[in-house]
Amino acid sequence: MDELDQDKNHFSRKAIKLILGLVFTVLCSTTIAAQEYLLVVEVMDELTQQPLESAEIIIDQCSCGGITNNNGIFSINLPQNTYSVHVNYIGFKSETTNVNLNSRKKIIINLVEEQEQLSEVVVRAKRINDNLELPQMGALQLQTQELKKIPSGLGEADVLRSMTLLAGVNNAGEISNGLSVRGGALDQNLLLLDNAPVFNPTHLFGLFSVFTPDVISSVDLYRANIPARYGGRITSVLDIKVKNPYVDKFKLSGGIGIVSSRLNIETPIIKDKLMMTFGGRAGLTDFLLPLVSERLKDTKAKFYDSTLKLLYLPTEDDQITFTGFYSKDFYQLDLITQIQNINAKNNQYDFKTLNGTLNWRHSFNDKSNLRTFLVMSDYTPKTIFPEVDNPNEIVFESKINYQSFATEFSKEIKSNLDYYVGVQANKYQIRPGELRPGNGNSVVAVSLTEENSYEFAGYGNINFKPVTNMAISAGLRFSHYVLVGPYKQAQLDQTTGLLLGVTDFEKGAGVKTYNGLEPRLGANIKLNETTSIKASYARLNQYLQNVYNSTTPLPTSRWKTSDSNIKPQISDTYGLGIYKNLANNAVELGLEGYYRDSKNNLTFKPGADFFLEEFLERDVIQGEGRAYGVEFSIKKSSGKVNGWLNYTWSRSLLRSDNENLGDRINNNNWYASDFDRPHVVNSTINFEGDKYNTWSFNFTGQTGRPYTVANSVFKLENIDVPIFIERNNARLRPYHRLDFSWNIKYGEKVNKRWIGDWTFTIYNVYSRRNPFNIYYSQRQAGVDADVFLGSPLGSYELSILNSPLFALTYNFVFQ
Amino acid sequence: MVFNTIFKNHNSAFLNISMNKLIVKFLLLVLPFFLTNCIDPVEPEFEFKEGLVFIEGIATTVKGGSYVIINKSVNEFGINKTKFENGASVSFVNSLTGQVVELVELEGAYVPSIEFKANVGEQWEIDVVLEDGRQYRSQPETVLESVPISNIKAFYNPELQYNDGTGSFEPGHAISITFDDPVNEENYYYWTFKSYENLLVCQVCFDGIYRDGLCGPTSISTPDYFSYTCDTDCWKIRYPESISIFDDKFSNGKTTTDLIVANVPLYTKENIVVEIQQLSLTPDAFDYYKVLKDLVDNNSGFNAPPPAALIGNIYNPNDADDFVFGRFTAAATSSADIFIKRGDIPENSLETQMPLSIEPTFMSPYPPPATIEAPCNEGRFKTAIQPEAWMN
Repeated sequence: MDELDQDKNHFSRKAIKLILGLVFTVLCSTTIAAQEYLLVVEVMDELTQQPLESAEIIIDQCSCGGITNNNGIFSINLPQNTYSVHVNYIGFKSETTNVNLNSRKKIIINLVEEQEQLSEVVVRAKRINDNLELPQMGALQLQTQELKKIPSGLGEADVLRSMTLLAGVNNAGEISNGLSVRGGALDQNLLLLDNAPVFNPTHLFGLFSVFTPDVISSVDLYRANIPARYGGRITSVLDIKVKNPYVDKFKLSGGIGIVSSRLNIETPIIKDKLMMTFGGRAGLTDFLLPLVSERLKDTKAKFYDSTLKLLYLPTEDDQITFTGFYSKDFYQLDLITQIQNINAKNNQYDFKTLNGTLNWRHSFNDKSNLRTFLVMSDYTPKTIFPEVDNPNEIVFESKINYQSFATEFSKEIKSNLDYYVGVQANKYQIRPGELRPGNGNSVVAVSLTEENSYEFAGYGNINFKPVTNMAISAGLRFSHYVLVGPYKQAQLDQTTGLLLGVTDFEKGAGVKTYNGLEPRLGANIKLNETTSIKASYARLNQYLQNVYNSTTPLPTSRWKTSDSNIKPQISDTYGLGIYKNLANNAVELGLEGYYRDSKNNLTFKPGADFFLEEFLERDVIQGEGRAYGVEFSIKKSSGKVNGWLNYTWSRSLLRSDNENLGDRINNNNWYASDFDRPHVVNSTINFEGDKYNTWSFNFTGQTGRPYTVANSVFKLENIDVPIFIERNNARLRPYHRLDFSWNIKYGEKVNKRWIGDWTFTIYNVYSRRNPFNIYYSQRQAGVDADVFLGSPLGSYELSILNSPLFALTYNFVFQ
Repeated sequence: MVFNTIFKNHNSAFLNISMNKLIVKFLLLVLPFFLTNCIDPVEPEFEFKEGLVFIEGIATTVKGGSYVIINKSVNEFGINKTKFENGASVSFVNSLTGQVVELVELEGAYVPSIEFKANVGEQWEIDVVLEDGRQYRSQPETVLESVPISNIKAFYNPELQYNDGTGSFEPGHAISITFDDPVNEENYYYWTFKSYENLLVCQVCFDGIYRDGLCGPTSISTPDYFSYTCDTDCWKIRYPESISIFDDKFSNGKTTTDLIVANVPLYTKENIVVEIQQLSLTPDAFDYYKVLKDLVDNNSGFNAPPPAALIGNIYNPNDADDFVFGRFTAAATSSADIFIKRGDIPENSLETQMPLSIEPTFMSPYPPPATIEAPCNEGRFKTAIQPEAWMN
């Protein structure tokens, strides 16, 4: 609970108060003479005994109600009477209880999770009409129940892949090492797991997310007026929360699938004081890969991830949590181009993430609290080069170490006014890379200079509702960034990019400083009970970037903090939207437009190579970017048949500004970025069948990814060489795909303490061969001549999938 | 069908089938769906632009090894192609002495006199004036001392390389070399090779006969083709299909052992000599060849770099915005060769030999003289000169 977004808390409280106030007023006017008593309704998940926030309470006799707060509590003063209290919560069986309110009463209602009633992808607001009430734009949320049910490749619940079904969220294709939000680059999205950034979010070169599925509580994506507490990336923030282990008994759950198997333990350690959840997953089935394709016979792919969360409740007002996350991958794949200049049998990729978050939340009273956290993120990618003529292994290793301390005070002043203020200090320590020869003698040891930088930020945000139909959220974040020595700063010729010299900075000396003032604004005007208009603005600075020159980065790709040559990326995002709810809030319509102007976007010079490059700024270009689009969405969150559809029209463009002819990209004209997808449509439909079966279909379709075709072909010795002048001057075929998911819960429990169910998914139902890339090849006599015709070069289209991907996963809970 | 089968399994036997058995059954049902290729041939797409100029020049320390090729992209009768640029004035210029070596047009290239060779330490550049008056020059290139190859080996690998076209691995030999990288200097290497294998048939004429050095039509019906065997010992020459480069930035001063620099697919099972040439490049030349490698070899993987313009050290001194592709490279060469016996290799060769179809010599209906042999004309792809490493 401590992780719940403060904005939303405040708005929730404010809204509850407003509702209560209104209800109270109405009641007062009609039954002024009746004796009133306080009715407290506490809603819990029967299985986890975790409070359910935002459960809907409807009380028949007074035609009143509301939603539960973050402690699962709803309270109301009502005249003495007998009331029927209905409790609804998406994904749980509804309950009704009759209460004879003749004194102050508290009732506890335990809801039972009913998976067959879950919506597959229900992106819902905290209250059924939050989409109309809050000034927050562009925020989307997925809950754990929803994540579990989304059809995904090979049956794994997958955070990042599920997010791509939402409007404005995309990736580089079937394999993508991150998310692109509203046309931004993969590294322009801040991925947080309980406040700790995750620098490499995928296993198996982008096929799966690293986040242990069973421990995730919720996923929030902010992409418009990003709350002021967040900073550091210019397009969006994906905030993933790990479940708090509010448990009073041991629970074991898990699953066995083709790709991976997983186990999750929740248990109290000291009753009501110390509780723990631990989830782990391992994928060790790479021995099956040769059955998939002969080409994969030498492929190795193993991965593990695990998450631990401890909850300590020392007093009623204090809550301390610790979250630990560990992820490790090892793979060897022929389809990845080998690194040049190291004589090795092959390249093996080995990388791990180790994160920790210590979080303390202290409540002064029910109106104000203080949240303080300490974060450490450590990412260590390695490339292993087994030598040709001996058993020695050469190792390339780099590292990012991120440490952060933040404290934030929040207070609700009155029902229509709340605020939070905070400070944050971050340390970025980057070891760009070192090459270790091991016991061999074929390479020299190389070690690039470490980068140390600090970011200090102060922020504040105020939520204010001056009149009933208007809400404003105004925030400001100030960041001060400093890169310190020891450091070797390259001096470059501004025109030619040639290295003129190097300046050495001693330990602790300031190399470069940047300051950023980042206003965040959101406004909501409610035109009537069912319609609202919102506007937003946000400025963000980014001091840390991932540098790579392929469509999606390798896990070993270089991270670089800003210095004198590489300036921080800066974006200004403007948004305007209109939202309407129909059928008593059962159907939500939204039309949201955005425009993002960005500076210093990082792209690479033609032919750039960043591996162990001391001064990579010689190989990169910082250009301007602009992205704009309109997102239309319609969703129905409840009922036997529910689902949603969104359509996005958008563009994402970049432009270099380089005088050197050879370094210009598209001759300094605007060109489509790798994530430019003018048309995207996503749709999900869920059929909530009987209590044993739930079916779901997802469809996604979009314009093909931009890629580059040659402008001519010349012969060099015996090789036909394609000649390129432009970048991204063509598009791959459109991408579209249909997925199916069937969740089967068999009725008879074998053992009361053992509950199992099956998930059967088909990814890519109709066998669409969606292209990942198209490349040229040398022609061979007679091979594919009927396709290549008179072309001097052949051409092949690489698809990641060429058939439906069936998966069956068995899930169990033991308690 | 598979879908239905799985449904039945679910409905009837969930509680009775053990997990392992079920997974095995499931895999057996599912896996056949994966056994097709994910790489499909597609019609190559281009955005042809007319008038692009490509200049590739080499000045080497080997006599007869220097040349300049000039091509231009053109559209002729609606067909986009590249065409050799005739009528240009081309010369090598010694940047230090001012010596000018004129090149003459010969069989699709501009070549200096056969006696010309560059020497280590010299600086050369090229000067090109096209027929339309456009002038191109290169930056000066220094001829760096070559590094000798200390050892050469050939390893047979039945799965040498994967062929996207056939969707299978191809057999062949990997050629590796060992060399001692000099200390205290940066070295950049580029390898090319020529392979020589016995050639039995020197000429094949389809729907015609071979007379006076040419295949020509005849009024008398012929089989699909006639084969003409070589009138002397003859060797077919092949060249690399990929780019092989190396930079000593991680191995300066070390011995690089068994570095694979060439793949020689098993096109035929004839014995073969592979002659490796090792060029010492300047850093700029290496960068150029690295882009070339990315364009030719590294363009198919999951992390393929986006294509880059192949712009080297040639420029138009009169128009800074004139794109010219290609490069002038001056480099010293060292070489090593190896003879490989291939007759006993069990795998099938990649090329299928056309059955011999010999023109009749007795009572021949075709115009005399009846011919069954053709000369082994010297050229880029054939030679009658026995390679030094050849073993009979």
